[in-house]
Amino acid sequence: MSNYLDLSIKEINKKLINKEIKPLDLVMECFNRIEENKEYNTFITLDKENAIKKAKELENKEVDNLLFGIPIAIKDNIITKNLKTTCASKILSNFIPTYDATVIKKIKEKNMIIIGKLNMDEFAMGSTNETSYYGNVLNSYDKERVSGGSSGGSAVAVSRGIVPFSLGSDTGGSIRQPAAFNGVVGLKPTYGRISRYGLVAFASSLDQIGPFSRNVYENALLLNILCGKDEKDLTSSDTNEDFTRLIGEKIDGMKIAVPNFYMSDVVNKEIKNNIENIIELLKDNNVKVEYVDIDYVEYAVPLYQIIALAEASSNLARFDGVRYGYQTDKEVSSIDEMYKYTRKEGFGEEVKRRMMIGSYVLSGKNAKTYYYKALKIRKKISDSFQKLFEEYDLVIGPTTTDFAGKFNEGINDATKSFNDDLFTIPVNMAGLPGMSIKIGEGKNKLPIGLQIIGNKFDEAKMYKLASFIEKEVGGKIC
Amino acid sequence: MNELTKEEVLHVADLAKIEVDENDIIKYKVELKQIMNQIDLINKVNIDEEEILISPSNNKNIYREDVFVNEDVDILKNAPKSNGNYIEIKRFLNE
Repeated sequence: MSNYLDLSIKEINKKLINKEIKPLDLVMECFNRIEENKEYNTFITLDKENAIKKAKELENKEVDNLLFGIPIAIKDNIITKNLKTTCASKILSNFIPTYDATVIKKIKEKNMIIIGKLNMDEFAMGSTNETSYYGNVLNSYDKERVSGGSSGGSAVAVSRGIVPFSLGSDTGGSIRQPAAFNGVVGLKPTYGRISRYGLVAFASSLDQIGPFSRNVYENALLLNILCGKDEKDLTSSDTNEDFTRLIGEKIDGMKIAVPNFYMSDVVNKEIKNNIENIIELLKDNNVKVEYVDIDYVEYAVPLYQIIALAEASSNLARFDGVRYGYQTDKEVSSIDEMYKYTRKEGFGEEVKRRMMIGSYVLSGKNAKTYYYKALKIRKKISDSFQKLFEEYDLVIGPTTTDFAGKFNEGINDATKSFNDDLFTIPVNMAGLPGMSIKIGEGKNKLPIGLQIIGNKFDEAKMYKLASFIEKEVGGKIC
Repeated sequence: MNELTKEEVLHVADLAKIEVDENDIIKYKVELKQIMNQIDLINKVNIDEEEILISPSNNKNIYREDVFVNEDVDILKNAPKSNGNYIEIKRFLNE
């Protein structure tokens, strides 16, 4: 079997243009690799028949862009016309969307080939992929460990080399954290950069779709085609640009902030040392790096528990067992009972807990004590970041406090899935772009992620720094 | 208190429209309290200003002409039960 999928996108593109290879070769390689990596449980639904059909159709078309004929896999909370979309939940186990998400339309317009739908935490709620109705995803570096989440399948599929690209979604760290745990590049773009139309809503003011890739340059390539204004998402922005344009440029003169909060004693020592090495590297290259404080950032986790779960309780109210999804078989005597049994049987534990908390913080007087208060703190965090960006180009720190853990570590702690996202949540609160890149491995051979945070719509600058660091640490350039 | 009361669990479950049995109640008493304890940390914060942030984007209303657009979406396709052009649910008469 050939290994064309190990080549860079540029090299694959050249071979497609020269007709040395066909899109079908790439698709068949993907499905072989899916078979070889079956135990990792990355996919919920495969779309082999359509992928092959599409690949054959492309043989008669002109290769007109770098992503032409390139396979991609999609997190299963992004809806795909006529292709089952479950959100890794029992309640949507038979759901066949009747239209495409805007990002799926864009991918299809560029003639990328969708291979299938990826495993995830149920409704993107979780940080280990253990809440999926379809079973755990195994960590790409160590099968005894979690993949991270909620976009666990998206990260592992790219890390195992099954696909060069995948899409994930990030509400509090769901792209960046699994990217860090599996040593790939994952970007949560600025809120509004990519249309959310067709992303099954979890927390609408925090959710963003974003790209996973093997390296920084290719991540920028994919973002290029995903972004833009969409009349179907009024929060989307008209901001098309070439995100690769600053890659390779000199970084000297840049100013970078490192929040003290991100370098406290809660961070694993080895991870901290690796981040400090990066800071030294940057200083050696004439970058000004300074430690700073960000006001209120320590409240990000409770803030998330209030805001994200309040929004979730409202968004997930639509699952009533009437219009779509699972419906209880129980003999019920009222419509309320029908809803209640449908939801008890259709949702998993993490989702149910979160909806109850969300309903609680919005109910009666709590709306003022919790929800409204949280929005005030959110404003302060956002202001703190904005002030920081008046002085600094970018912010860096670790993506996670620790390495990927083993399975069942959170079994007696309902707050674990939130605390795992300590360093990623503030970014969503402020609507900023954030990314994770691999900067090394621990003694345990597990990858370490560096998080780069930018000002709104400053992704190009983040890619510039990320590609410099990637090159210096000997990352996978392809 | 490190547990919610049974009544409190039943109340939030009712708000979220989720049926709970005795085993669920035992579990949620502890688990929900763990999260609520963490949420209570925000009570330590005092902010005088009234400014809030609901969404990071500057939402503006977008108006369009009020014309019929046929999206050609088969909304009955995913309904658990349907009959002709209707979604079907059980009959409930004793409210």
